[in-house]
Amino acid sequence: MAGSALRRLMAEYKQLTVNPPEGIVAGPVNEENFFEWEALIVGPEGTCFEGGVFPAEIIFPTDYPLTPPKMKFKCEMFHPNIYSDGRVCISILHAPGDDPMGYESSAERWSPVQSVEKILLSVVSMLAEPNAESGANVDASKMWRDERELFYKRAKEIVKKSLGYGS
Amino acid sequence: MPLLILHPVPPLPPLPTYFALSFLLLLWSVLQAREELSVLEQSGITTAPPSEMDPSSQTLNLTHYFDIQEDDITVLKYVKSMVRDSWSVLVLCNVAFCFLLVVGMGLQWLIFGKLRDIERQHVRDKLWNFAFYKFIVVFGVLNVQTLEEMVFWVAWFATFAFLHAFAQLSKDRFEYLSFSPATPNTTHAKVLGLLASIFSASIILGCLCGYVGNSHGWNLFLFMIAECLLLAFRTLHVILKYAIHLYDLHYEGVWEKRGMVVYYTELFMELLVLGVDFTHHIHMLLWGNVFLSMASLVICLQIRFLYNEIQRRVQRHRNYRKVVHNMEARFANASDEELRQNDDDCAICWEEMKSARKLPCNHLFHDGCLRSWLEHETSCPTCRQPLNITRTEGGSRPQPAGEAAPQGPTLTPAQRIGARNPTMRNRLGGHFFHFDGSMIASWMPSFSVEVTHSNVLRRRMVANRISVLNNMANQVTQMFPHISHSAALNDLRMTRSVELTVANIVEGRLVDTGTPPGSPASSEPPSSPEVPASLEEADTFSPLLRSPDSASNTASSPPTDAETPWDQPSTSSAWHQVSEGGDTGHSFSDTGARFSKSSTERQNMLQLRKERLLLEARRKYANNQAAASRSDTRNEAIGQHQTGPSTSSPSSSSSEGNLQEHTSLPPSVTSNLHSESDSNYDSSSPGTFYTSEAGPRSDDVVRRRNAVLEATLRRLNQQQL
Ligand SMILES: [Zn+2]
Ligand SMILES: [Zn+2]
Repeated sequence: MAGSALRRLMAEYKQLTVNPPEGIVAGPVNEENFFEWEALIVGPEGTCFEGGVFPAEIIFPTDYPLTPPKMKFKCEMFHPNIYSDGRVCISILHAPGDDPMGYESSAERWSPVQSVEKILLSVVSMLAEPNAESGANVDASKMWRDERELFYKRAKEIVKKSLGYGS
Repeated sequence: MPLLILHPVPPLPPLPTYFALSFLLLLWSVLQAREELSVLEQSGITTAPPSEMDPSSQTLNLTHYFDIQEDDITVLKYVKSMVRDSWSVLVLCNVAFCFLLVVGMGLQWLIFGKLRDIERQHVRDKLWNFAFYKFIVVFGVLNVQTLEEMVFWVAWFATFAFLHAFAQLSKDRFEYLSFSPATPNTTHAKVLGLLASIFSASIILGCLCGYVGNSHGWNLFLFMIAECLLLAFRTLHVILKYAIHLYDLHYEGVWEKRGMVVYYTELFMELLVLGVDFTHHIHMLLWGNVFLSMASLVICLQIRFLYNEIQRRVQRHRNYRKVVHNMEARFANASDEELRQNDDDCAICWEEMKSARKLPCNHLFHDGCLRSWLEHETSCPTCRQPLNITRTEGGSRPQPAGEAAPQGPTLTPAQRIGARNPTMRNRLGGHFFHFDGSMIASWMPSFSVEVTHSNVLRRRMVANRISVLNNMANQVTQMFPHISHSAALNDLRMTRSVELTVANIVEGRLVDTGTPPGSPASSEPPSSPEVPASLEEADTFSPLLRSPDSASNTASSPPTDAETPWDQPSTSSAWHQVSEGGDTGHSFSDTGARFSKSSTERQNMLQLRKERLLLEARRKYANNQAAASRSDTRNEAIGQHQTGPSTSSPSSSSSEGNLQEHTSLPPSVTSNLHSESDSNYDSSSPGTFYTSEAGPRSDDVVRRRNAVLEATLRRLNQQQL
């Protein structure tokens, strides 16, 4: 039953609308389906993703907030913790039970007290500080570890593309 | 019937072709009938010859109704003459089917409009499964031999297929509609009306089979009534779910009993449908005399499937009862005073708590919310303290028979994992299956998944944890010199977060032997001694220094922000500080917006905010490019300027304060800021980079668009006031 999830999502939407964290806009793509959201995330300043605007879709389960939503970037990304298809690999999005990578502690995984806002803030901090150990994108991990300058250059291109400029 | 999926669905001819063919066939049989009638009239025979009457068909002999009488009207004569020819009967059936199809499609357009892909897929599957299954039943169980019987059963099952298809559509559509809070009432009324009609149709059909069963024996009656009951119960199930959903949507405040009502409705209806289906199949197997045939095989498989379903459902209910029981026995209801002291919403549903359950860690939740969470995971949602539900406190819970009371410290990790309830283990996948043997141990112990890790990894994590804990304890003792290091360490072991510990100290929840007697240490220490040591070791701690609660805590306990620099990277405050240090502090002036009650206005607002964010990011990017294209020396100067304020700026500027500043910013100020930065850009190097990026005109476009956006936002804000 989607009733309680709907109420909770409505409350979160309200909070994110009235009092949004800086550089983040999020809400349902279409209110006909409150379980599909789109978020725009601005790359955090002082990092290689600075200034980019990255769209991502968030799909909620019907028993939200008991199980975590799924998040996927809709634009090209190059980041150690983002799969090449855009799926985001951060611990807050993993249910306490499953542990695909086998390295996360349950303390930082999903629980009902988390929220869309916290997920998005985690993603912002993930953009700022990639975790090279996770390796959702092995190429990016390697580049981040060994050829930092090259990674920065690649990130700059990603930022440029995300704003709709060129190439 | 997921068991029977007809895989290669044959390609159907396009509908217009089908209709045209049907019409041609009808024309052909009408012509035939005319020929026959003229022959009959010439010879003057008014009744059919007795040889055409089939004496062997006792069950459903309708032939004598169709004897042609002199006084019949012409149309009836035609129909009757056509019925006497088996080919024409088939043609007529086909026409009836066409008619049903047209009616169905009309109804679908009227009530559902365009179908979504998933709905179309479901209906198609349902219809194919139904057709396949009933085909087997008709030839395997009913042993249909005469054409009349055949026609009757085809009509009967076609009606049911029709109703089932619409029941399925309504169900899917209801589920989809329940995803949105802003569905118009007329849509709800349409779907509910359809459901009610299907329900009453099934009742009417039930009466009809009473009539048929009266004359043809109770076996037939049972067979037919089962179909009606199945349809009726399935429809009723959807109607009930719908009613509960609508009631919940329009209920003011929190409906505390909601979870229970939903659960028991589901349970009752599911068991009812499964039970009826099960008996129906058993009856078919016994009545149809079809042992050792293809049909019996299919029916047996279906019976086995239904039996497993029933068993699974009952097992689930048992687990549910256990959870409820354990919860009630172990977690007391919070007193009114505790509720008042808490003064916070339920962290699971974000709604007010009028009654709540209290966990050992002093966190409060709604009864229903906590229960549904405990079905997923057995730890406190807020602080993740494991809840060792199995261990009774004060023996208030009667020990279920056959359950060995586990003594926490003596359990090996493997045992603890194996002791989880079966549904949970299934949910986790094959990962835990090899621990099946220890199922007798009572369910849901406190443990953490990390125990399955290799020893090396665990040791590393433990080492990590200890150093991290020490660091955190040092921070706490720096802030509160009167708290001893060990007490801080103890509390940190529970809270895993400096903020939470600080909150505990500030609110007097931390009892320390070194605490001055004046401190209001009234409540019990959060670090309860009943947590076994092995368990703590298993429960690893985040080495990433990021508490999941930090984001909320930065708002609730601002002083910790200033003192815990390591916490910054993940939270909003870091983000704010960085942006504050930059030369364009208010670049993303999205100050939030009014949360409208109207769905369309909300959507427009969101769209506006998105566009604005993108526009500002573009302009800023362009500005940065311009800055980069200037001389290096200047760039360096800016760089120094940038780093200057960020280091010297007071770190105590919490995210809250910053947000406040943002929200209180009137639209006029933001627009001033825009024009300022615009003029900045104009004075520096006009057009040098835009030519390479997006053309010189885009700046004008951006500015004009922004002006429009500003105006709209201002208007919306004024509306709010
Ligand atoms: Zn609640
Ligand atoms: Zn707790």
